[in-house]
Amino acid sequence: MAFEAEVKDSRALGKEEQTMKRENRAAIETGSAVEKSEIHGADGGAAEISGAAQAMRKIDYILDFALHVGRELLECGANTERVRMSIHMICKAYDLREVCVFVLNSHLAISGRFMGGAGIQTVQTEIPNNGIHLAKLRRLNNMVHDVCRDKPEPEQLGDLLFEALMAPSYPEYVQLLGYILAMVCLGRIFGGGLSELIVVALDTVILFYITMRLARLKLNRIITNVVCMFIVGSVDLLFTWSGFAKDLYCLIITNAFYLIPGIPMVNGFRSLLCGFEMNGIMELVKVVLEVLTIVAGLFLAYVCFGQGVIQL
Amino acid sequence: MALNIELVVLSFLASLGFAIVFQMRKEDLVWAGIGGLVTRIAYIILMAFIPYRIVYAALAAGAADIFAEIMAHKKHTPATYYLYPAIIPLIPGDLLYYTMGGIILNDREMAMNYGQDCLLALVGICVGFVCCSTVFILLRRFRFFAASGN
Repeated sequence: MAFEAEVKDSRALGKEEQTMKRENRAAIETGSAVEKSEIHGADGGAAEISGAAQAMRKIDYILDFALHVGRELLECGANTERVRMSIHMICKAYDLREVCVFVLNSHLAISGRFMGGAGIQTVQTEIPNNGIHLAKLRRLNNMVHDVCRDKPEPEQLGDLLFEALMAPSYPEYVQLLGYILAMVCLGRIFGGGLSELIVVALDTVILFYITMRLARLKLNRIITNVVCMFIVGSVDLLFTWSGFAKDLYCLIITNAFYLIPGIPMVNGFRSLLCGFEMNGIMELVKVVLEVLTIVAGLFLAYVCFGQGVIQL
Repeated sequence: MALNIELVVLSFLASLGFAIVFQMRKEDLVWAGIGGLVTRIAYIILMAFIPYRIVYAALAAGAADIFAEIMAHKKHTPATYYLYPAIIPLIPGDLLYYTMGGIILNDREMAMNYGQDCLLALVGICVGFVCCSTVFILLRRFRFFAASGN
């Protein structure tokens, strides 16, 4: 794993730090080459790196690169077909043979060997977070195409990946405004009036900050959903009880839309139909569990505050 | 008619909002909104003529996928980039929610009715995607293998 730890940290680093890291990495790579050369010298009695050792190092870089590209793609919301195709393209561009790619939304494994190489090498990783970051997805996709076309030296692949991961993100307040716009529109589609839309906007602000805080604590998604829906459900019940909002169902459904994993639901079903049954089943089970926890959170709020006051 | 126009405008804005949440680039935000608009228009028209949810959901999803593939081809991006915001008007989140609500409240009829609708909508959407994207994937693969000489 030549640059695994660095890729993990790259998102948290500024540009200056990135440059420093690259310089450090170059030094590390030189060091590792020397180390490998020495090891080989001790084993085989030769002073120089043999062709086989160089090939092994090259395949290390390519498989590492393909693995990290795959992981980043999955973390940005790419579907498994796209990831599989990107990895195959990279491996084909660098003449890897007997390439086997195993993709789940939570796990990725790749194996392959050079033509005439001694053995098959396998690399694998877990995918800790599945989110959606379309700007990063676009840059990664373009980078994969550039790599396949230009075939740069394997040692340069790490730098290219760094650059692709530098996609800009919107600041927090813009994301919040995006959420409010989307949720208010959905609230209107579900039949909400002005008072309901005001409550939906308020709920969206609450949900945005709670999910962000809980994400920092790295809490389980199931607990996050129950907590979020309990708080927002209580707010909705309060506004309905006070008479400010009239349509409780509109409020609930709109808020649930914030938490319901709609895109993974569609992707899971799509995986099932496309022949990736294992991934599809796992995704759908996850979606159903998450939706159940959303309903459970609301039910909890109703049992605590709404029973006897409002008919659900 | 006025209600449909309102729905179309709201779908445009909802897709645009979700495009910001999904971190789409500024210059593509309007296209994301247009994706939602196209999907909603297709959905409204098809729903008026076809009585089966699975069929009109599939065709509307197909329209969203074709829009995403065309945009992806023009702008050199993955189709997913335009597809995710475009399918927002199709996602049956409310139906899934009601289904789960029926299960938790022990209302079997509610769970069955909404569950059936949700399943049909999901199957329809995915069939629409799979059919359209398979054609485009085959085209891309053909081009990739033709370019690499295999």
